[in-house]
Amino acid sequence: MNNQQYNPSIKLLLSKMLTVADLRTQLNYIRDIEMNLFNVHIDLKEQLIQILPYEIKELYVAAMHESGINIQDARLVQLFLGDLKNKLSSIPVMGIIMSYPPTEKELRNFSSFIFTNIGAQVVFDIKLDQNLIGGCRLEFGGRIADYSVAKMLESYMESKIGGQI
Amino acid sequence: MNIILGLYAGFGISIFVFLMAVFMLIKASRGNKIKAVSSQITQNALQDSIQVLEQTRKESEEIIEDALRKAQSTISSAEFISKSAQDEFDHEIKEAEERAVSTFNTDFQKNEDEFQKLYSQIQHEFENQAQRTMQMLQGVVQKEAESFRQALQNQTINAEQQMQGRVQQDFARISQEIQDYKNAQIALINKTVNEASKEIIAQALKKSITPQDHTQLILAAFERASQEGFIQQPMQQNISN
Repeated sequence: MNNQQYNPSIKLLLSKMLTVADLRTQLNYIRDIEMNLFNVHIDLKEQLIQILPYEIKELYVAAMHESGINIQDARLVQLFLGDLKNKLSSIPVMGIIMSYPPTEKELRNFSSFIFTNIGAQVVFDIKLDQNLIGGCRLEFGGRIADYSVAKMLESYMESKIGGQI
Repeated sequence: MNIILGLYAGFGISIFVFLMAVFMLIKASRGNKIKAVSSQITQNALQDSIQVLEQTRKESEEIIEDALRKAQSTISSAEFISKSAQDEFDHEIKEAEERAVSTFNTDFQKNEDEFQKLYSQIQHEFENQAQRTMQMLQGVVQKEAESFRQALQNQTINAEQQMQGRVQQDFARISQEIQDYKNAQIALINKTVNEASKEIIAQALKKSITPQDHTQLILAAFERASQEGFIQQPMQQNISN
């Protein structure tokens, strides 16, 4: 997903999407906001404050401002949210099975590495398997590749011991 | 028989003459003129008739006696002849019987001789036939025995060859099974050793790999995946709400 044409706040918001869980959380936020749009008697900015974490709320407000959207105009806000929801949903998912729970910093490094190499953002669907020892097993585009230490060790053992049979 | 016919003829003639005289008398009596004559004639005729009758009776008696004598004679002759014939018949019967007996005895003897001869011939032929049959059977039996011996020998050879082939097959199969079992056991040992070694190495690596090493390993995996083209073309996957 190339987000070169997005405004800075949208880019920043999308860059915070590291995992599938982040995506789902964000999509839940959008759904909650959309449900409040039908109530004409409420202040939408107040609702954003109540629904979204502060940092996210600031990004939403900034993004709408950069897009020239009046936050009190429910119809335009709905269009903005719909577009944002489409952008979030179109981010590719990469399954990654690891032997340890990664930190956010590590996930950010991984995401940056992927973005640098393939020119697109992905979100990780993380699963844990300590038997992998190290490295990871990747699932992407319907394919699976095992780059774990366990696999390397098995290949090594096969070449050393299995070849003697 | 002729005598009896003669007697009957004489008697008939007498009666005819008597009747003629009676007729003449009756005819004469009818005439008045000849009544006396007729009476005389009648008397004469009567006397003649009586005389004739007497004569006839005598002759008849004679004839009858003669006939009786002849008949007696004939009967005697017949009896004699009959007795003679009977005797002769008996004699002939006896002779015939004796001839029959003699013939029968002769024929019986002859038949017995022929029978004995035929019996001897048949017995001889039967013995010859039996001997030939025995010889033939002996030949057949010898031939069959030879054939059976040959078949048995062939069967034994075939059985021996089959047994040998089967033993070789069993030996090959058992050898293969032993080899397979040996390979399986070696594979099992290698697998066990492999798993044990891997487990030991894994435990050692788990303890020795630092968080930085983990990060480096992940990044190395990404690098390798990128080089292998695994993540070159990202596919879009929608996240459902």
